[in-house]
This record gives sequence, structure tokens and C-alpha cells, in this order.
Amino acid sequence: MSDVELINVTKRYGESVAVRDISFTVPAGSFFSLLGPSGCGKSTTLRMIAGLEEVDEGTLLVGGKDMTNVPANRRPTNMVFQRWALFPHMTLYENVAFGLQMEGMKGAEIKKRVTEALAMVGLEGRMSDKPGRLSGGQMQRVALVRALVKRPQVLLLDEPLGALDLKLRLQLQRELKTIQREVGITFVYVTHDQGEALVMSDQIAVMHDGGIEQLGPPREIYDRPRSPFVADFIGGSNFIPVDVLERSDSGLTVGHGPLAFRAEALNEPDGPSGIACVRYERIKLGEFARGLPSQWTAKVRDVAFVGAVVQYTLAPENGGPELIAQVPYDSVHPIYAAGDTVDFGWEDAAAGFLNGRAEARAPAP
Amino acid sequence: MTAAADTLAEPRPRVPQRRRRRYGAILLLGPALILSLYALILPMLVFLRYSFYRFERGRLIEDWSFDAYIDFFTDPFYLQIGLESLQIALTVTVISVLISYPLAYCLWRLNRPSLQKWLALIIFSPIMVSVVVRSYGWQVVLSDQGVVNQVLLGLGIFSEPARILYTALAVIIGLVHVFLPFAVFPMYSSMTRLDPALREAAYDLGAGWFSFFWRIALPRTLPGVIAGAQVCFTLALGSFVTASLLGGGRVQVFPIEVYRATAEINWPTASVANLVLLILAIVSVMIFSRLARLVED
Repeated sequence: MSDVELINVTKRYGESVAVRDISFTVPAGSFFSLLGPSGCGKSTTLRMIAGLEEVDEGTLLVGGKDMTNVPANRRPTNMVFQRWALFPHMTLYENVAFGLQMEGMKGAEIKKRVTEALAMVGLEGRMSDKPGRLSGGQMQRVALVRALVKRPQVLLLDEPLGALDLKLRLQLQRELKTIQREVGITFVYVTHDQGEALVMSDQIAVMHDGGIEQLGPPREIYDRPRSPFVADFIGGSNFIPVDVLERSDSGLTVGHGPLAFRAEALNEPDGPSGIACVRYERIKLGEFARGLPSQWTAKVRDVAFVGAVVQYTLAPENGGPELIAQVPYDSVHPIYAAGDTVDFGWEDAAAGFLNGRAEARAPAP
Repeated sequence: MTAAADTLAEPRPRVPQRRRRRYGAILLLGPALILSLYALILPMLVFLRYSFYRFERGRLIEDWSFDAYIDFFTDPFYLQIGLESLQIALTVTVISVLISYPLAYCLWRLNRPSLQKWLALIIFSPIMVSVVVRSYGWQVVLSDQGVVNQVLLGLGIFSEPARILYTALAVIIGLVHVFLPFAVFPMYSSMTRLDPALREAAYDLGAGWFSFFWRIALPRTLPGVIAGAQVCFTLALGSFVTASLLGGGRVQVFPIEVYRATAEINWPTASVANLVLLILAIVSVMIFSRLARLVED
């Protein structure tokens, strides 16, 4: 059973196409993220579900009913806005009560629901304060319950944590996820922050240029990106331009100069060349590299201490492309210095092969 | 609530300002200060002095007397003038606000920039015409043979021409016409400052256009309404040309009385009337500011 379904939906602004012919379904009760860089059409898609943008072509279903031409105020969806959009002249109570009053609910029932809702985020003591007196995190919570108190079929969230600092963002990510599980309402969440999407989502739709690049659960998107864009946008990957040396049922053997290794095909491997991607953290160093099927030696060219991890830039001795390796900063993994010579390698399953333009991306440190 | 969230709300300590910047500010204020000292404050003091003169048999007598004040506040004629002045100013203000708010709202909600430009031009047009020309124009329109009366007679609403010209009504019509832009633009600018996301949020929460207007747009734009009303009221209180040309001497308001007394060299009375007008204006500004603070809270 799906709560939201888009069928061949397109949205244009004059000549430019913001969303092109996308189709997807959001399973009921799930946490669904639309992830992508700015301008990819993710917010437009969300706003179409909310009814704040018109659908130019295609069909939009919410809860199995056609909502394509239903105005925003008659849809069973509610939205948490990017900058929260709390009504500044109303108290928290009035803000949260607004949506219920619009439904024509009775005063006593409104009071009960609003009090409950504010208690859920620990703000029942601030009911008569105006939003201007709240911190960013508190405003975010009020915006959330203002939408949730209406018990919508689908809750839409448009980068609601974007304006908060990192610590608070991480904390609210967990809160949001917990609340979502408790209320059991479908969340459609828009974000450009891949970490946020990975942490919270049941399903992620990666959007690029008005279309959906890939849709799947977080680990599938992370482990098996189906395009160079997704591989680059999510996590950190080394991109190695390679030629296909050998094809077999169990996989491919690919090569770049002196490096030859096995790779799993992530999309249709029909071309003679493409790119291999290897996640930074999948490259093992020193004794951890010993005995791996793909193993070489490199000079450490640069060391970057990130905190929980250390990033090394490696220059393979036999002249392969520069690679980035990321190892945990703990008592187990030794620390290397620039200029050290170190063995490196990865498991067969670590490398993926993407059929695509080899020059698609340069590895970003 | 967590500590991390609470620290966000803490006010930042004020950075002490360097003194040098204040001298610069005074320097910038210089021209305006000199102008208002010479053209406003000094004349006011002179007026104050004149108000204590005596006026006897067409002659001014230099003195320190309260005669002019006593005359002014005991003569029912002046009380009548005061009431009429306030009544006209208040009526003009109310009508201007009632006409301007929907106009400003319409201007704001129009999402066709070209149409918006033309509408703004039409709203602004009254102040592009000199007040004298405009008043004579209204004289023609409102006269017994004017367009308004022809329409009223033609429609059979009145059997004989209605007396509009040289009444308070004519003055009110003329003033509303001039003050329209002054009322529309504070309101319009308060509307453009309204966060568009508030409208979307209201609709998303189930509001229709009326609920949005009544619960969100109107309360959020009241400061603009008050600013517009304040401008109308003070300008109407002090209007002279429109009141004299469309009132034709039959509508008695403060500025006209000041003018008449000045012409008779009755400077003490003119001064007292003028001071009363000033005090009325100041009091009204204070009331409006208080209102503004009330709605902005």
C-alpha cells in the first residue's frame, strides 16, 4: 500500500523543466527522502505533493486518491517549511491550534490535541510565548508539531534542519526518526545532505537534473550506486578510468595501466570502458592489505587528519592514478606519514564498475 | 529542551561603539538640524511670543497677556472650528484607509509586474498634479452642473442638483484623493515584507483566502495601516489649499482660521490657533505611535 504515488509527473517554469517525467511510490508509514544538490527538482517535487505547485503533466495520488488538481488546503498532507514559517504574531499555542481551527474542530478538543502535541517536543511550558523568543531548534520542533497535530496522511519536510548548526542537526535527526516511528505517519523528506538522508531514511530517491537517478534503501544506494553521479554524491569514492579486460558470469576484470582488478558491474556493462569506483574506506593499508586479491604498493603523498578517520592520498608506485584511502583513527590502525611507502589493496566486492564517461568525475578529497 | 538549543537563544553581548562614529553622525545631521532650527523652531518661538501680544482695534500691542488664549478657548466659534477640523481629518483618514487597504492588497497580490507598474502609476497620479489645479478640477466635477450632479440627476436619484461643492463633503473627497498614495504605500510595503511562506503555511494547514487574510495578512500589516492613517490624519489636519478651494469659505478649519487671522494682523489669535493645531498634531502622532507599538507586539 502506498501513500504517495507520482506517475510521469513533469513540472516546467517557462522554458526550463524543473521536474521531468518522474514516477515513484512512497510506501505507507515509511521515511522517504528526496536527496540531491540544489536545483535538482527535489523541493519542487515536494511542493507538488503539498499542492503548492501545480503539476503540469502526469498524475499525483495521495492515499490512493487522485490529488493532481486538489488545492493545498484540501489535501491530507502537511508541510514543515524550510525556515519553519511560524506565524510570528501568534503564540505557540495559537500556531499549533491554527490548523485544527481550520478544520472546524471544537475548542476543548483543540486544547487537548495542542497540549499533547507541544508536550511531545517538550514545549508545553512555552505555550503562550511567541516564536520570536525561541531558539532555532525550538522553532523547528514547533513547526513539526504544527503540521503533525493535524494527523496528516503524509508529512512533508522541506530541509527543515538546514538552518541549524551541526550538533543540533544531528540531535534533531534522531528525534525526527523517533517521532516518525511513534506516530507511524509517512514522512517525505527533502534534503541535500546525504548524511542526513542515510541516517533517517527507509528509502532514498537520489535526484539529479529534474529526474530520479536512483531509488532504494540507504545501503543499496551507498553500496551499489547505479551512476557516476550517485557514486560521487553519496559518500566518497575513488574514480578510476578503466578498460574492461575480461567478462565472466561472476563479474568483470578491469584495468587502468598496471592496475588490474575484479569489479562488480553496477549498471549495464556493455561498453569497452568505463569507470571503477572504490569507496575511500574500502581501501586497506599495511598489514590489513596483505592477502587481499588486489594488492599494490604506494607512496603516501598527503595525510589529512579528519577526526574519527585519517585520509591518505596515495600515489601507486607502478604509476596508477592517485587514490584516497580512509582508515579509522583508533589504536588498531597505524598512522603513516607523508613519504612512507605502504601496501594497499581492496577486496573484490569493494570495486564497482560503471558504464559511463570515464572523465565524469575527478576524485574529490 | 537541551542545552545546545537553549544557548542559541542567548543574546550576544553588545560590542562597544567607538566614539568617533557619533561625531560623524552629527555632521551628517548638520544640514537637517540647521534647516529645522531656522525654519521650524525659531518661527515657533516667534509664534509663541506673538501669542502673548494683544490685538485691540486693529492694532498689535506688545505685551505679556493671556487675552488671546482666553478669547480662543472661551469663544464657541473656535470650539466649532476645532471640532470640524478633527471631524474632517478623522473622516478623511477612515475613508482613505478603507479605500487604500484593498487597493494595496490588490497591488500586492497581482503577480503581473507590468500591471502592477500601471496601477502604481494611477495611484500616484494625484500627487503629480499641483494641489491648486487638482482642487479646481474637483470644483468643476462637484459643481451643481458637474459630472457628479449630472449623473445623479440623470439616474433620477435626485430631482435637483445636490449641494456638494463648498461643503465638508467636497473637502473630504478632495483630501482623500490626494492622500491615497500616502495611505497605500505604507500598507503596500508592509505587505511586501510579509514572508510568502506564511501564506503557503496557512494554506497548507487548511486555511482559505479569508482565513489567511483575517488571521495572518491583516494582523501582520496593521503597522502599515497605522502608518498610512497617521500620515493622512496629520496632513488632513493641516490642509489649507484643498479646504479653502473646495470649502469656499464655508468650511471652517484651523489652517483657514490661522490664515484669516494673519490677514487681519490678528497675530495673537493666529499664533494661538497655530499652537493648538501643532499640539493636536503632536498628540495624534503620539496616539498613532502607541497604537503601532500595540499591534507590533
